[in-house]
Amino acid sequence: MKGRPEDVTVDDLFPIYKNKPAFTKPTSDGAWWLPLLEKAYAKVNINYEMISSGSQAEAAKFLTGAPAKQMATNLQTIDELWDSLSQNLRTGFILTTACFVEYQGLQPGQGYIVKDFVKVHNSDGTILRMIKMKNPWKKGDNSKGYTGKYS
Amino acid sequence: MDRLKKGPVDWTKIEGTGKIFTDHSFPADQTMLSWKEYPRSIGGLAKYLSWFKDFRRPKDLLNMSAKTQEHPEVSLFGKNNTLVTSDIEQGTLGDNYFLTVALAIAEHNPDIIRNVFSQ
Repeated sequence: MKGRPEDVTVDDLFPIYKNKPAFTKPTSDGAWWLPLLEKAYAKVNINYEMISSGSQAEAAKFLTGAPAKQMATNLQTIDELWDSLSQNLRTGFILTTACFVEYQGLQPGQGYIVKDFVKVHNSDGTILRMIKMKNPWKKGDNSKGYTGKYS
Repeated sequence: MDRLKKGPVDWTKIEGTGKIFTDHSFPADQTMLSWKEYPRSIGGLAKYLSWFKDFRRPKDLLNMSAKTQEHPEVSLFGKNNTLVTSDIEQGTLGDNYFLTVALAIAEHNPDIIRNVFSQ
Protein backbone atom coordinates (compact mmCIF):
# COMPACT_ATOMS: atom_id res chain seq x y z
CA MET A 1 0.00 0.00 0.00
CA LYS A 2 1.46 3.34 -1.05
CA GLY A 3 4.79 1.60 -1.62
CA ARG A 4 5.02 0.04 1.83
CA PRO A 5 4.19 -3.47 2.93
CA GLU A 6 1.22 -3.43 5.30
CA ASP A 7 -0.61 -6.08 7.27
CA VAL A 8 -4.27 -6.32 6.36
CA THR A 9 -6.48 -8.12 8.85
CA VAL A 10 -9.78 -9.62 7.71
CA ASP A 11 -12.25 -12.03 9.23
CA ASP A 12 -13.81 -14.94 7.34
CA LEU A 13 -17.36 -13.66 6.85
CA PHE A 14 -18.16 -13.78 3.13
CA PRO A 15 -21.23 -12.62 1.19
CA ILE A 16 -23.23 -15.72 0.24
CA TYR A 17 -25.57 -16.33 -2.66
CA LYS A 18 -27.43 -19.64 -3.05
CA ASN A 19 -25.29 -21.38 -0.41
CA LYS A 20 -22.07 -20.42 -2.19
CA PRO A 21 -19.76 -17.42 -1.84
CA ALA A 22 -21.08 -14.62 -4.05
CA PHE A 23 -17.67 -13.80 -5.43
CA THR A 24 -14.61 -16.03 -5.76
CA LYS A 25 -15.32 -19.60 -4.68
CA PRO A 26 -12.91 -21.70 -2.65
CA THR A 27 -10.81 -24.00 -4.84
CA SER A 28 -12.03 -27.50 -5.64
CA ASP A 29 -10.13 -28.94 -2.64
CA GLY A 30 -11.73 -26.52 -0.18
CA ALA A 31 -8.89 -24.00 0.11
CA TRP A 32 -9.95 -20.43 0.94
CA TRP A 33 -6.74 -18.48 0.25
CA LEU A 34 -8.13 -16.91 -2.92
CA PRO A 35 -11.43 -15.57 -1.43
CA LEU A 36 -9.41 -14.29 1.57
CA LEU A 37 -6.93 -12.46 -0.65
CA GLU A 38 -9.86 -10.99 -2.56
CA LYS A 39 -11.44 -9.83 0.68
CA ALA A 40 -8.22 -8.18 1.87
CA TYR A 41 -7.91 -6.43 -1.50
CA ALA A 42 -11.55 -5.29 -1.24
CA LYS A 43 -10.93 -4.01 2.28
CA VAL A 44 -8.04 -1.73 1.35
CA ASN A 45 -10.06 -0.52 -1.64
CA ILE A 46 -13.05 0.27 0.64
CA ASN A 47 -15.47 -2.34 -0.70
CA TYR A 48 -15.95 -5.17 -3.19
CA GLU A 49 -17.49 -2.97 -5.84
CA MET A 50 -14.36 -0.84 -5.98
CA ILE A 51 -12.16 -3.72 -7.08
CA SER A 52 -14.41 -4.55 -10.02
CA SER A 53 -12.29 -4.05 -13.16
CA GLY A 54 -8.66 -3.01 -12.97
CA SER A 55 -5.26 -3.81 -14.37
CA GLN A 56 -3.21 -6.93 -13.78
CA ALA A 57 -0.12 -4.79 -13.22
CA GLU A 58 -1.86 -2.93 -10.40
CA ALA A 59 -2.87 -6.22 -8.76
CA ALA A 60 0.67 -7.58 -9.09
CA LYS A 61 2.10 -4.50 -7.37
CA PHE A 62 -0.42 -4.87 -4.55
CA LEU A 63 0.32 -8.54 -4.00
CA THR A 64 4.11 -8.51 -4.27
CA GLY A 65 5.30 -4.94 -3.86
CA ALA A 66 7.51 -5.58 -6.85
CA PRO A 67 7.43 -3.42 -9.98
CA ALA A 68 5.03 -4.59 -12.65
CA LYS A 69 4.43 -3.45 -16.18
CA GLN A 70 1.48 -3.58 -18.52
CA MET A 71 2.24 -4.07 -22.21
CA ALA A 72 -0.08 -3.37 -25.11
CA THR A 73 0.68 -6.31 -27.34
CA ASN A 74 -1.51 -5.01 -30.16
CA LEU A 75 0.89 -2.10 -30.64
CA GLN A 76 3.89 -4.38 -31.09
CA THR A 77 5.00 -6.30 -34.16
CA ILE A 78 5.16 -10.08 -33.85
CA ASP A 79 8.96 -9.90 -33.61
CA GLU A 80 8.92 -7.24 -30.90
CA LEU A 81 6.33 -9.19 -28.95
CA TRP A 82 8.31 -12.42 -29.31
CA ASP A 83 11.54 -10.75 -28.17
CA SER A 84 10.01 -9.20 -25.06
CA LEU A 85 8.07 -12.35 -24.25
CA SER A 86 11.03 -14.71 -24.51
CA GLN A 87 13.31 -12.32 -22.68
CA ASN A 88 10.86 -11.83 -19.80
CA LEU A 89 10.13 -15.52 -19.43
CA ARG A 90 13.82 -16.42 -19.53
CA THR A 91 14.53 -13.88 -16.79
CA GLY A 92 11.94 -15.63 -14.65
CA PHE A 93 9.29 -12.93 -14.59
CA ILE A 94 5.66 -13.84 -14.06
CA LEU A 95 3.56 -13.12 -17.14
CA THR A 96 -0.21 -12.98 -17.45
CA THR A 97 -2.37 -11.99 -20.35
CA ALA A 98 -5.91 -11.05 -21.29
CA CYS A 99 -7.84 -10.08 -24.42
CA PHE A 100 -10.60 -7.61 -25.24
CA VAL A 101 -12.54 -9.75 -27.72
CA GLU A 102 -13.05 -13.48 -27.87
CA TYR A 103 -10.27 -15.22 -29.75
CA GLN A 104 -10.41 -18.96 -30.49
CA GLY A 105 -12.24 -19.71 -27.27
CA LEU A 106 -10.16 -17.36 -25.12
CA GLN A 107 -12.63 -15.12 -23.32
CA PRO A 108 -12.47 -11.36 -22.89
CA GLY A 109 -12.50 -10.51 -19.22
CA GLN A 110 -10.56 -13.63 -18.30
CA GLY A 111 -6.83 -13.74 -17.65
CA TYR A 112 -4.41 -16.48 -18.61
CA ILE A 113 -0.99 -17.39 -17.28
CA VAL A 114 1.91 -17.40 -19.76
CA LYS A 115 4.19 -20.32 -18.96
CA ASP A 116 6.54 -21.19 -21.81
CA PHE A 117 7.43 -20.51 -25.42
CA VAL A 118 8.95 -22.41 -28.30
CA LYS A 119 10.04 -21.58 -31.83
CA VAL A 120 9.70 -24.38 -34.36
CA HIS A 121 11.56 -24.30 -37.67
CA ASN A 122 9.52 -26.32 -40.10
CA SER A 123 11.20 -28.33 -42.86
CA ASP A 124 9.60 -26.08 -45.47
CA GLY A 125 11.43 -23.07 -44.05
CA THR A 126 8.47 -21.54 -42.22
CA ILE A 127 8.71 -20.68 -38.56
CA LEU A 128 6.04 -21.53 -36.03
CA ARG A 129 6.04 -19.65 -32.76
CA MET A 130 4.04 -21.21 -29.97
CA ILE A 131 3.23 -19.95 -26.50
CA LYS A 132 2.14 -22.22 -23.68
CA MET A 133 -0.55 -20.70 -21.49
CA LYS A 134 -2.53 -21.97 -18.56
CA ASN A 135 -6.26 -21.45 -18.30
CA PRO A 136 -6.99 -21.47 -14.54
CA TRP A 137 -10.75 -21.02 -14.97
CA LYS A 138 -13.37 -23.68 -14.58
CA LYS A 139 -14.99 -24.52 -17.90
CA GLY A 140 -18.60 -23.47 -18.13
CA ASP A 141 -20.92 -21.03 -19.85
CA ASN A 142 -18.44 -18.19 -19.72
CA SER A 143 -15.26 -20.16 -20.16
CA LYS A 144 -14.49 -22.54 -22.99
CA GLY A 145 -10.73 -22.66 -22.92
CA TYR A 146 -8.63 -22.51 -26.08
CA THR A 147 -10.42 -24.04 -29.04
CA GLY A 148 -7.99 -23.11 -31.83
CA LYS A 149 -6.19 -25.42 -34.20
CA TYR A 150 -3.45 -26.45 -31.73
CA SER A 151 -5.78 -27.23 -28.84
CA MET B 1 -10.46 6.02 4.97
CA ASP B 2 -10.91 6.15 8.74
CA ARG B 3 -11.07 2.40 8.64
CA LEU B 4 -7.43 2.08 7.60
CA LYS B 5 -6.19 4.63 10.10
CA LYS B 6 -7.95 2.97 13.01
CA GLY B 7 -7.17 -0.54 11.88
CA PRO B 8 -9.20 -3.62 12.66
CA VAL B 9 -10.28 -4.64 16.14
CA ASP B 10 -7.43 -6.10 18.11
CA TRP B 11 -7.47 -9.79 17.28
CA THR B 12 -4.57 -10.54 19.65
CA LYS B 13 -6.96 -10.03 22.61
CA ILE B 14 -9.13 -12.97 21.64
CA GLU B 15 -6.24 -15.12 20.45
CA GLY B 16 -6.31 -18.46 22.28
CA THR B 17 -9.65 -17.75 23.98
CA GLY B 18 -11.57 -19.82 21.44
CA LYS B 19 -13.60 -16.80 20.39
CA ILE B 20 -14.07 -16.20 16.68
CA PHE B 21 -12.65 -12.98 15.28
CA THR B 22 -15.09 -10.49 13.78
CA ASP B 23 -13.64 -7.49 12.01
CA HIS B 24 -15.89 -4.55 12.92
CA SER B 25 -13.79 -2.19 10.81
CA PHE B 26 -14.97 -4.07 7.69
CA PRO B 27 -18.48 -5.07 8.73
CA ALA B 28 -20.38 -7.84 6.99
CA ASP B 29 -23.20 -5.74 5.60
CA GLN B 30 -24.02 -3.63 2.57
CA THR B 31 -21.03 -1.33 3.18
CA MET B 32 -18.72 -4.25 2.46
CA LEU B 33 -20.18 -4.53 -1.01
CA SER B 34 -20.61 -1.02 -2.29
CA TRP B 35 -20.65 2.66 -1.49
CA LYS B 36 -24.30 3.71 -1.25
CA GLU B 37 -23.67 7.39 -2.04
CA TYR B 38 -21.39 6.67 -4.99
CA PRO B 39 -22.57 3.58 -6.85
CA ARG B 40 -20.43 2.58 -9.80
CA SER B 41 -22.25 2.52 -13.08
CA ILE B 42 -19.80 0.19 -14.85
CA GLY B 43 -19.12 -3.13 -13.19
CA GLY B 44 -21.16 -1.98 -10.21
CA LEU B 45 -22.94 -4.29 -7.82
CA ALA B 46 -26.13 -2.23 -7.49
CA LYS B 47 -28.36 -4.78 -9.22
CA TYR B 48 -27.01 -7.64 -7.09
CA LEU B 49 -27.29 -5.97 -3.70
CA SER B 50 -30.65 -7.58 -2.94
CA TRP B 51 -29.15 -11.02 -3.61
CA PHE B 52 -26.23 -10.67 -1.26
CA LYS B 53 -27.82 -10.15 2.16
CA ASP B 54 -26.36 -13.23 3.71
CA PHE B 55 -22.86 -13.35 5.19
CA ARG B 56 -21.35 -16.55 6.47
CA ARG B 57 -18.09 -18.17 7.47
CA PRO B 58 -16.60 -21.09 5.52
CA LYS B 59 -17.18 -23.50 8.43
CA ASP B 60 -20.86 -22.55 8.71
CA LEU B 61 -21.25 -22.86 4.99
CA LEU B 62 -19.85 -26.37 5.16
CA ASN B 63 -22.30 -27.37 7.91
CA MET B 64 -25.17 -25.84 5.99
CA SER B 65 -24.59 -27.63 2.71
CA ALA B 66 -23.05 -30.88 3.90
CA LYS B 67 -26.40 -32.63 3.74
CA THR B 68 -27.17 -31.78 0.17
CA GLN B 69 -23.89 -31.98 -1.67
CA GLU B 70 -20.31 -33.07 -1.24
CA HIS B 71 -18.06 -30.35 0.07
CA PRO B 72 -14.37 -30.67 0.86
CA GLU B 73 -13.02 -29.83 4.29
CA VAL B 74 -12.34 -26.12 4.83
CA SER B 75 -8.66 -25.16 4.79
CA LEU B 76 -6.49 -22.18 3.94
CA PHE B 77 -4.20 -23.67 1.29
CA GLY B 78 -5.79 -27.04 0.58
CA LYS B 79 -4.51 -30.58 1.03
CA ASN B 80 -0.81 -30.75 2.02
CA ASN B 81 -0.65 -26.98 1.53
CA THR B 82 -0.49 -27.41 -2.22
CA LEU B 83 -2.18 -24.44 -3.81
CA VAL B 84 -4.61 -25.55 -6.51
CA THR B 85 -4.64 -23.14 -9.45
CA SER B 86 -7.10 -24.90 -11.74
CA ASP B 87 -10.88 -24.87 -12.22
CA ILE B 88 -11.28 -21.56 -10.40
CA GLU B 89 -14.78 -20.06 -10.24
CA GLN B 90 -14.84 -16.30 -10.28
CA GLY B 91 -18.33 -15.29 -9.20
CA THR B 92 -20.17 -12.10 -10.01
CA LEU B 93 -17.38 -9.59 -9.48
CA GLY B 94 -15.20 -8.21 -12.30
CA ASP B 95 -11.96 -8.75 -10.46
CA ASN B 96 -10.55 -11.34 -12.81
CA TYR B 97 -7.41 -9.25 -13.29
CA PHE B 98 -6.61 -9.59 -9.58
CA LEU B 99 -7.34 -13.32 -9.42
CA THR B 100 -5.29 -14.01 -12.55
CA VAL B 101 -2.23 -12.41 -11.00
CA ALA B 102 -2.73 -14.16 -7.66
CA LEU B 103 -3.04 -17.49 -9.48
CA ALA B 104 -0.01 -16.74 -11.65
CA ILE B 105 2.06 -16.04 -8.53
CA ALA B 106 0.78 -19.23 -6.87
CA GLU B 107 1.65 -21.16 -10.00
CA HIS B 108 5.14 -19.64 -10.19
CA ASN B 109 6.04 -19.96 -6.52
CA PRO B 110 3.34 -20.91 -3.98
CA ASP B 111 5.62 -19.80 -1.13
CA ILE B 112 5.02 -16.17 -2.08
CA ILE B 113 1.28 -16.66 -1.44
CA ARG B 114 1.88 -18.73 1.70
CA ASN B 115 4.11 -15.98 3.09
CA VAL B 116 1.43 -13.35 2.45
CA PHE B 117 -0.67 -14.97 5.18
CA SER B 118 0.67 -14.64 8.70
CA GLN B 119 -0.60 -17.04 11.33
